[in-house]
Amino acid sequence: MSGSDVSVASGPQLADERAAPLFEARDLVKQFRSRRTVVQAVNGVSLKIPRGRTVGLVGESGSGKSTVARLALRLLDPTSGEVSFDGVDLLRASRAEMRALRRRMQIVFQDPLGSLNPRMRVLNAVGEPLSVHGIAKGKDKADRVVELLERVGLSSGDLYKFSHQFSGGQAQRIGIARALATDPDLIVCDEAVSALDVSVQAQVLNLLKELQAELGLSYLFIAHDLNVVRYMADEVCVMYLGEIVERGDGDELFADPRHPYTKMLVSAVPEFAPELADGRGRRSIPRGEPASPSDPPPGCRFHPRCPQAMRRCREEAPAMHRVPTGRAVACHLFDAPAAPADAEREASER
Amino acid sequence: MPSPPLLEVNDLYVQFPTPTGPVNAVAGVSFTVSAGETVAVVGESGSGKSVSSLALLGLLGSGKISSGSVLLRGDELVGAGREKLRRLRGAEIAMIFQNPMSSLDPLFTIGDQLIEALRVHRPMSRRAARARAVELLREVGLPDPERRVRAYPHELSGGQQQRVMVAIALTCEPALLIADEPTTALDVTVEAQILELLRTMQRDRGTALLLITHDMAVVAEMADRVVVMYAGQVVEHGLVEDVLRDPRNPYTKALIDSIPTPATPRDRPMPAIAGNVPTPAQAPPGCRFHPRCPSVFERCSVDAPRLYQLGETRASRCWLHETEPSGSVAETVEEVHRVG
Repeated sequence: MSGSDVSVASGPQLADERAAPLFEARDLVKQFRSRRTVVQAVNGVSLKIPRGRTVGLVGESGSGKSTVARLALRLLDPTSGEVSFDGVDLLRASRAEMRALRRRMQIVFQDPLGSLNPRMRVLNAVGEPLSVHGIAKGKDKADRVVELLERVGLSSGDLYKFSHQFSGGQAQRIGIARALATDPDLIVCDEAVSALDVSVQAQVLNLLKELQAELGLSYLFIAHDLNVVRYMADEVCVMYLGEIVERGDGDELFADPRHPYTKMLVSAVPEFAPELADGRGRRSIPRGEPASPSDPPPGCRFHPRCPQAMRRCREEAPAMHRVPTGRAVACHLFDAPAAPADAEREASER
Repeated sequence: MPSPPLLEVNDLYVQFPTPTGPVNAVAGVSFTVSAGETVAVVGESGSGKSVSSLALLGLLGSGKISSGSVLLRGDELVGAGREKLRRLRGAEIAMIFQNPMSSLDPLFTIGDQLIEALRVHRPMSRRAARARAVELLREVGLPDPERRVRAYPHELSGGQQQRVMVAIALTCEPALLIADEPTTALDVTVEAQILELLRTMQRDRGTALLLITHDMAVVAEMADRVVVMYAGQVVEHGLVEDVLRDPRNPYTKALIDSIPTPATPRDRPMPAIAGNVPTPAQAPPGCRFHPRCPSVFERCSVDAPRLYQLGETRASRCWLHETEPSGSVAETVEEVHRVG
């Protein structure tokens, strides 16, 4: 294990921003080929997850966010790009190394009941990773599973139940307990709360945050709900058709979205604040629908829907630009420092 | 005498058989929808919101209405024959669902499906029906309708399919459109477009809309009045702005608080509701919300509260209204905080 000095002191408060990130992806590309088409699911995504922190990925269907989740855990191999975990290059790791690393990176899926084996009792559903990795068996395994269940708000009384005996929220707690079994450093939450009722969703979000504070976990938190991602993430990455178009602090993204797609997304989120109940019909109506990832538009992939598209956007893909307040935006409006302010003002007056 | 509401549901009970005996998925639900109005029925899973709407149209499958009444323009639908319900479903009430792909027939073009719907309701030539179909598709904002009328459902995106469903619903020029989670399966940018389409349709045609949703934000954006359901019962109803700004029922308040918004503080836990949403078979005795309620007291676990009328347009099901008939729950909770 490299960088062990850092991983010992990996509590969120102790994490050093400049230290090597726990997880890093560079320029990930993933194409799925079928007989006639090539689907460009992910097109040049880079991200870093510091220890004890949460990076959020938000995007609509077809944005490639779930493919990024699978690439991050090497459940899929990228077409090109690099992925490293705690300094180890995941794509060059041997099977034995990969097996050891898998203990340290886990995933929680959207559909808790669908991702648990209906014939397995909780003891084995949660304890399976312990058996697979040879961590514990018999009484030790049962003790560890009880400990995990209690940690996620369930009890030893649930040990011999089947997953169908639980509600959605309880089943997701089982999914989280299972992910925690191997004592991981990174958990990928792929729409982990999206299928839950809102009153239960809040419980699970709180649980995930408690676990992070206690165990120093890092999360790659993926969801389509911008409000949920903003609440959970230290850094929010907005994806569109396989690319990250903007990243930054969630509050700032909401208050001052810079990329035209982020603007569209933020304004499309139904306004829900009781005190704003009068402001109905204020939100602007987005135009068009995302193109197919098997036939993405040339140039900037957002240009056919972009209210500020210029000729250049149809021809040339924009690079990621750093803008003030720790933000990065992939948009030609930010190519020349003087122009964007005017262009934006113009757009907002329209 | 004021005209009766378009739709009037009174004390509706819907029963489903289960291996352990019949279960009431809906237990005494009442609400009204007036012509041209949008009423939202909001609730979490198992609240009975979808079952209530399916019951109106006689689409319950294994379930049945065990008591209660459903009046459409004063005409009783409970116990009406299949033929009558079938006619009404076409002519007066239309419905769209969460998943348009499963409502459309994959073997026929969307033009065929629209033409069929048009000709069932009104005798007209195929040619006239096709022209009308293109017109309807244009009206619902489907791009390039002359070409798309020949498309099969799978060739359209989810948002476009939902537009087609709205077009089919409009073929009969219904007085009431029931939309059951119409945007839940859609991306947020497409959701905004479909909600806008429903608003436009309503404005231009005066169609009443009964919107079934789990999403309070959609309620805030669309509805005039809201009916909040929990575990098969109505727990609160009123004008949307009143209910959202000052929820009187502890469940409504807790539900609203648990929704993340751009203003939710990130460094504090979310206000969650403890426990789990009960299934209809597990509905607890007394007030059905009492095991999860922050304001619970002894009586709540024993006696079921009735729906208290609070002013002309407002009602809430909670024992708090008995002890403090004038005070709102929100105020009560704040007072507790101030003291504590």
